[in-house]
Amino acid sequence: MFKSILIANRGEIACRVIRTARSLGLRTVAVFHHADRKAPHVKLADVSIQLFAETPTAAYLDSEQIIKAAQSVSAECLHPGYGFLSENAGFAKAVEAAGIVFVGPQPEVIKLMGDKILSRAFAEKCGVPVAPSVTQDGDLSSFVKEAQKIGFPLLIKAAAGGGGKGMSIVHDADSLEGQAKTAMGEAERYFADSRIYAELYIENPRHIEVQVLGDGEGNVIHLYERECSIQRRFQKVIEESPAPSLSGKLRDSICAAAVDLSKKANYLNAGTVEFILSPNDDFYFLEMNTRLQVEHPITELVCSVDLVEAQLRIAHTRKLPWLQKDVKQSGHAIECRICCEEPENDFRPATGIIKVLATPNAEDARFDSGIEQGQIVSAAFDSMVGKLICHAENRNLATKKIAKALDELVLLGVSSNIDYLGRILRNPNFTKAHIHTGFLTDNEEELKPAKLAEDEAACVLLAASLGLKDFRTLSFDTPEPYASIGPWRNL
Amino acid sequence: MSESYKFNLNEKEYEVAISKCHPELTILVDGTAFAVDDLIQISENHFSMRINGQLKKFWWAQDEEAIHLRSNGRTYILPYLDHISATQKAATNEDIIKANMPGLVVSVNCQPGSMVSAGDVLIVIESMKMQINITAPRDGEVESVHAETNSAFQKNAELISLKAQE
Repeated sequence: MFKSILIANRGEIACRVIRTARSLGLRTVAVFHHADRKAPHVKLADVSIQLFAETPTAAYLDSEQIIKAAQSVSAECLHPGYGFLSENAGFAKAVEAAGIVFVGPQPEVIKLMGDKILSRAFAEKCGVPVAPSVTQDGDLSSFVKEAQKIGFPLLIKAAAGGGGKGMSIVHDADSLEGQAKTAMGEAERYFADSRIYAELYIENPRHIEVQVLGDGEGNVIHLYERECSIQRRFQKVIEESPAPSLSGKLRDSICAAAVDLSKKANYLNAGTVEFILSPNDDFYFLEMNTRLQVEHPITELVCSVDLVEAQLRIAHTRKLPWLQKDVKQSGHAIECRICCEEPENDFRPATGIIKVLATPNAEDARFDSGIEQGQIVSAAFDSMVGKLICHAENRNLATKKIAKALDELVLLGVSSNIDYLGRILRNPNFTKAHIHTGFLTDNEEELKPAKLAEDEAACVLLAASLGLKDFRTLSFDTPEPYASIGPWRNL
Repeated sequence: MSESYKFNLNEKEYEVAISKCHPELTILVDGTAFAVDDLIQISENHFSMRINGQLKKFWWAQDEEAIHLRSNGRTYILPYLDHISATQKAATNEDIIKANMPGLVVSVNCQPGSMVSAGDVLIVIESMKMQINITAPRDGEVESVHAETNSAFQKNAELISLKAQE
């Protein structure tokens, strides 16, 4: 195994990678921007190196500084986490050129899969179904004409896109040109690449993805599927594995398509092939993510594996740690993404200081996070601060377990979506697995908080008052001569 | 009992007052009496108590703006009343458009002298990687723009001011 590793990331994923690397005996090296100097990933690592940049995000995107940092401590390998430089082919190449093993796929595979147009063409060539589409590469008017031929609704996406940026649904011919222009502008701004494409938008689809591991020599295994249909504005909110009510035959076909595609790409290390599943069970290739996913823990719990360990072993030996027949799905796992935002205020990002953080028992729930009490949640980074993950025998029990764990999770001082997640898990359409990517919009009204009854409000107000030291003093430390010893005590 | 505390919960104002401490603590919430017993501080921010005999546990914290509570799987934020009235005042003063949170200016769609209608996007900001449209609160004329594309701003920074109405 490697002796040392640099983690080119921050937050929960940096902490997650450090945890496994340390358990395998690696010396762990973190990088950080000044804004993160007190962050958990810095404290967890054996060594931390400061990066200098005008903005915190720029620091974690500075490949030159990060590679220099890795060289300065002779790190043998580098884990990119997700986001930031994780899917930057140039970075992967530069890391390897510096004599450091990049824990991820080959740069050319990252590049291929990073281009949504090229990767779609590749999937098509591999015999993996793709939705009917048209690419805009020059003349907007011919693009509009071709797009109309496919029919509506259409989904416009950026060739270099990801994370929902540059995406929009077009319902009729009249708005096509305008929305295409907007999408091109956004694509140019975010990805410096204005190319867009439009594909047939499948109504009420499900998002199913397959975890794969490859050795770079054409050997690929899958670790089954994840369902990530609970999304808001193309961002996943709740994920689960296995996908509920998927026939064994369909599951096998989807997993086989993912493996086929990855084999033909000579895929190395961990990756995820994403598909759209239509209500009549047709599935289409969406994209391949060439990195560890946010939602990887549900696969870990269902398959009893450590995916970061698998990544490190593959990077070190270029061999797959398991045979396909050794990978078994057992039980059901659900993950909730904990975000600092205001669900009642159009999910506006929330900032502030975490005054209280209390987590459920580790036996009941896994909490992967990059936060701790006293930490500042700033606008500099993504609003996702942690993930709560539960595993149980079946979906019903897993849902109950994670709903209870969410109730026990306490994050005070900064608004979060914890209560909102709890309402999703208790929504009858969710428990009945009537889910698709429009679930949160369709159930918007039902997902609003229930009105507070007057006696509940009174309890809240009593608690608010008695938390105040002054109020407690008035209540219990009365100076009257007749004062009995109050029930107030410290434990 | 003279001491009373005012709180704001879900945009409604409530008054909490101690009615009597003996023989048992009785607290009035908007005039309704509740018997409070067995208050225990489990840890710095974690409490339990009995309200009219029923056991309640809660987590409690406060910052400069509000009291934060979590009980029975629900989170509550009770903004301080003086703060509330201040923001309400700010909200009615629709001449100055302020940032609710720190962030970065993505684009500015107006300039001094622009005539705008309520709902027009005046400026697009980015906070936590999310783009947010800042819209005109009313019809009017833009008096000054304090934001520049790609510039950063702090919470409560003035972004745009509209010419005061007659």
